[in-house]
Amino acid sequence: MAEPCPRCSFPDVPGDKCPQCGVLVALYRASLDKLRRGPGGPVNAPPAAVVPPPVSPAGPPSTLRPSFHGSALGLFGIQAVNALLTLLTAGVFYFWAKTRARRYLLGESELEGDRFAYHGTGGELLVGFVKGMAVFFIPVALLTILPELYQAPAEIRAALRSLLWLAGLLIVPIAMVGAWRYRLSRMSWRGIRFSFRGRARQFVGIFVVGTILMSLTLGLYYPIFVTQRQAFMVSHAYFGSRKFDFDGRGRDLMRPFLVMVLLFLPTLGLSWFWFSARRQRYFTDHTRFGATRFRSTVPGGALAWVQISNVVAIVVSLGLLWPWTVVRSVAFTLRYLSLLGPLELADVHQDAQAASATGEGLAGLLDADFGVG
Amino acid sequence: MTRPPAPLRSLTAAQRRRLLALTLGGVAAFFALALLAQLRVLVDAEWEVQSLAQALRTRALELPMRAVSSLGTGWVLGPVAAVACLVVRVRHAGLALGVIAAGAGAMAAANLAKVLVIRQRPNTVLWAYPSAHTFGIVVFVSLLLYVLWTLDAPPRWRRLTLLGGAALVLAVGASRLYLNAHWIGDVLGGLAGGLAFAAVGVLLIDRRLVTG
Repeated sequence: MAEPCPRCSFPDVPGDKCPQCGVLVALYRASLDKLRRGPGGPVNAPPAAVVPPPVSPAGPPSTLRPSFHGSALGLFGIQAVNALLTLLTAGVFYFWAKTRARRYLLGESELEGDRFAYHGTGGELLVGFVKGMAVFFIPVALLTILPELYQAPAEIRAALRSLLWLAGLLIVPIAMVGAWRYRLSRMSWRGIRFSFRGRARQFVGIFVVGTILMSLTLGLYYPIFVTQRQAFMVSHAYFGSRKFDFDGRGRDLMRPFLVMVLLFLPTLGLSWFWFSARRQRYFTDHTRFGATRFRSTVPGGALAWVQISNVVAIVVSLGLLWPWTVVRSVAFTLRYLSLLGPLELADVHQDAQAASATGEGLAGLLDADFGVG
Repeated sequence: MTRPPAPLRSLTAAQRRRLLALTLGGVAAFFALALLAQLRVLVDAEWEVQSLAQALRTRALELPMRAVSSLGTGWVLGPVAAVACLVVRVRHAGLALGVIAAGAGAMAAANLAKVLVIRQRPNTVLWAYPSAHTFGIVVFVSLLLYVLWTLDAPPRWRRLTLLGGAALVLAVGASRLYLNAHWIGDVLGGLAGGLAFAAVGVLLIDRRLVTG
């Protein structure tokens, strides 16, 4: 059936070429799609559904592999500029530096021929940091300094210390959720934003109960705790209008965890890497996006080698090799990651959520990463 | 017996001032465009230009545009510049060396400048700003014009080179837009940065070889 020309709206284009404006319809439409999906499209560009890849109906389930194109030299150049500008601005540029590194790492990650994009700004991080300071550090500083100044009795100081510990227990999960919400909201692929829609209150419950049970069981509750955290973070994450799903259960990791604990001393701690790889594979394999299932084949030995050699490289080079270790880690993770099944994106549309960087600022202050595998 | 080097024309004080102004203007424009790109101020206008460029795509033009675009790469500019420098070397070895150094510096500068702005291209690949193709061809054409001028080549040659060079710069810049490889801001950044770099190169060569 003849379609109208996407450029001049000539009603019935008989073939591939518009008789009125001469544009090649398929080529023009493909270019516009690419432009619209790309990270540089204007905010008010029409929200396009992502064009699905052609799927052969009778063929085997497709496997997609993300790839990483970054190089240590590229990140080193970025870090050199970052370090210089951070020094020149007495540290203020740090927030922009962080953004630049993230933009590079995501911009060099590719899936199905299109790169991911990071849209966060240094200004947002700076504001988030200031708010984080106001929300957390000023009350904490006052609660620790004032009793000293007024020489409060020991019981009051002990009570305030407990109060601080409790406040920390509540603020860490809020910061983790806030940081995750912010980072996902600033990521996109083919012009479609990611988002996180979980409620911090729910995660506080998981975190507080998990932390207390971890203490009571001397750490044996760890596999269940991390799986619950992962489930919360993944199952409330969205790409456009479609959510991710997670169907892992913590008890499945209990046996590998106990084996790791038993072998920890005999292997001088190396068993942790095998458990870590097992956990990463488990978390990835139990993550779904529509009909697509994620898969990781990361081996324990290779993970141990990458992580140990990264630490050695950073220490020996006094931090100069940090870009190399980052690029290597990202490339390593993506090398063992694949997406199984058809990536059905036809009904995915833009559904961006607002998110402030306060949680990100708090997470930065508390060094509380979310550790989503 | 070695031939004595040909006499070189030197820049007058007024010409030096103009080149300095060009350098400062080019640098200012380069950084201003970089800032605008980073802050995404021009994104709507750039998107409009890009849509327009994509509307002009036809199968017949794909290969010629790729060929034109490749004229701005080191793979083409390097050998061409090397051959040109061999010819210049017959007249003045020092000038040839200066031009080679400026050319190599330009390629390095164009790629290093990309670290300043981490920006994705319309086709989502990184390292958009500035367009190294445009930067390279601008420096090449500018240095070629300077060499012809300082060796006192006939005015007709210089006029032809100016016209041909300007057309080449326009064509390479347009091909980058056409191939969806750059935004218009990246091409303008390459133009501004290339002009500034070439002006600095000419000033340095002139000071070292001619004025002493």
